[in-house]
Amino acid sequence: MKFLDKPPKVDLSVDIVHLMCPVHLLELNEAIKQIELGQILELVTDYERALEDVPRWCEVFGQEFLGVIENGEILKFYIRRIK
Amino acid sequence: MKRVYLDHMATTPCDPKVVSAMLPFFTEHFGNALSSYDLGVKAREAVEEARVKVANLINAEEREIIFTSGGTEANNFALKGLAYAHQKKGKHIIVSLVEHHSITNPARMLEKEGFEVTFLPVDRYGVIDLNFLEKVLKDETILISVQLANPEVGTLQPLKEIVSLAEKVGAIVHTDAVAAIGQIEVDVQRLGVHALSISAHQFYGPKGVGALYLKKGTRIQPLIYGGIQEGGKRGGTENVPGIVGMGVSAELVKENLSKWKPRMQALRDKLIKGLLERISHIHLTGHPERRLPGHASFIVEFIEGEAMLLMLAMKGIYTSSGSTCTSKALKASPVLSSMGFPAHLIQGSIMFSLGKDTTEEDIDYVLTEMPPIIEKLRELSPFKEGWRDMEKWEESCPHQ
Repeated sequence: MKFLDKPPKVDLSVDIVHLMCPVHLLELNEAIKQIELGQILELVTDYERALEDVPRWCEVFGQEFLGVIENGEILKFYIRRIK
Repeated sequence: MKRVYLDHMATTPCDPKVVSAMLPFFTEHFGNALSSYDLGVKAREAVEEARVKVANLINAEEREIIFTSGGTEANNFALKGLAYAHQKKGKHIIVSLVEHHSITNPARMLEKEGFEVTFLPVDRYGVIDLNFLEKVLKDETILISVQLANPEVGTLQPLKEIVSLAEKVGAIVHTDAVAAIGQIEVDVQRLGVHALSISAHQFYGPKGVGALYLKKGTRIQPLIYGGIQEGGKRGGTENVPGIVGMGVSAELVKENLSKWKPRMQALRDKLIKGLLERISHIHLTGHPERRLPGHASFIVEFIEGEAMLLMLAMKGIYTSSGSTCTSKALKASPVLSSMGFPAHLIQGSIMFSLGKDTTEEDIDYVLTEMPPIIEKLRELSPFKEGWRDMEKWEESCPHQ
């Protein structure tokens, strides 16, 4: 897992704290459509299984997974839209 | 026998337009709103159309509407869901003493779980004490829940002032608007609240469906976990016919409230004036002006409330002694107790709640039929001797 020390500049942040599978991936799917190529999405969640699912989703859908920042129970995922 | 229904705070009759809109969704369009084939699409579109109508009714965005099984679920969801989601900031919650049980009971449950709950007192009209609220607010306060209107006494609460006070400590404000919708205009932008509960059967829609408005960007923990329905915030296959019905009733209120409101208000005023003139030792409860347009509640001294309700029902007049649930449990109303009424007066409480179809003839019928019933009951009353001894009783009534 790629853990980041500080967050990159974000173009859109989506907060899905308290929501669970499969809402995290459905929201990710919707949110990525709302940013332009090259822009960065931040997905804020407390759902631990996102640690496996989000990088895998990026792999399957061909988006660039930049890494995650963990702050207590909150996980912030950073994804760059490349297609 | 003539039937005069004046208990619209308990429930309202479903409008025929609502029923006819719902029916095809039981049979012809029975699909699951999540199914991808045409039957599912039809159901999904109907749910989304209803969401727009409900959002329009309260001036919200459609994505801010979460459908629930009714007002009680919406209230439980707001209290627990918002408390759990924001407990890192603090664990202090404030609710008023005159809230419905679907607010006070989850609040007591949260108290057992380690949250600190402050119950806000009210004045003799049932209005919450804003000075008290200001004093108890602290940085740890995460949630304030105060109803928009009280269903038992009709009093409207100063929500805008509550929201301004809450902003000082960054607390979330929820309001139970179940009694208010269908009686007054409700605009979430003007109120400034973060969450608001509504129930369809209180405004000519079906039972078993309601909604929680949740301002975008406000975190909430689901109460019912399941699938992806309602954006994952409320699992469970959507009650499509119910939601469709709620949409139609929301549209009906939005279009007609400006016509219904002055009519209800005029009839309410006639009822209040008429009963105060015709019956001795009767007192209006709740705020004299800041109250729901279709709400008239009283305390009738020296009689037993349930007997009064039964005798009125025998004449075809349907009313209530307070909250329906409290009445069934034969408990003294906590709302009237909080307003300072002693138990012996509370037992004589009666409330009339008018609706869109209430007529002047209905009110005249009550004004003719009720005074002789009261007279008869007082003759039979064990308080018979006492009620003639006015001095004794006048001391105990805070509304003298």
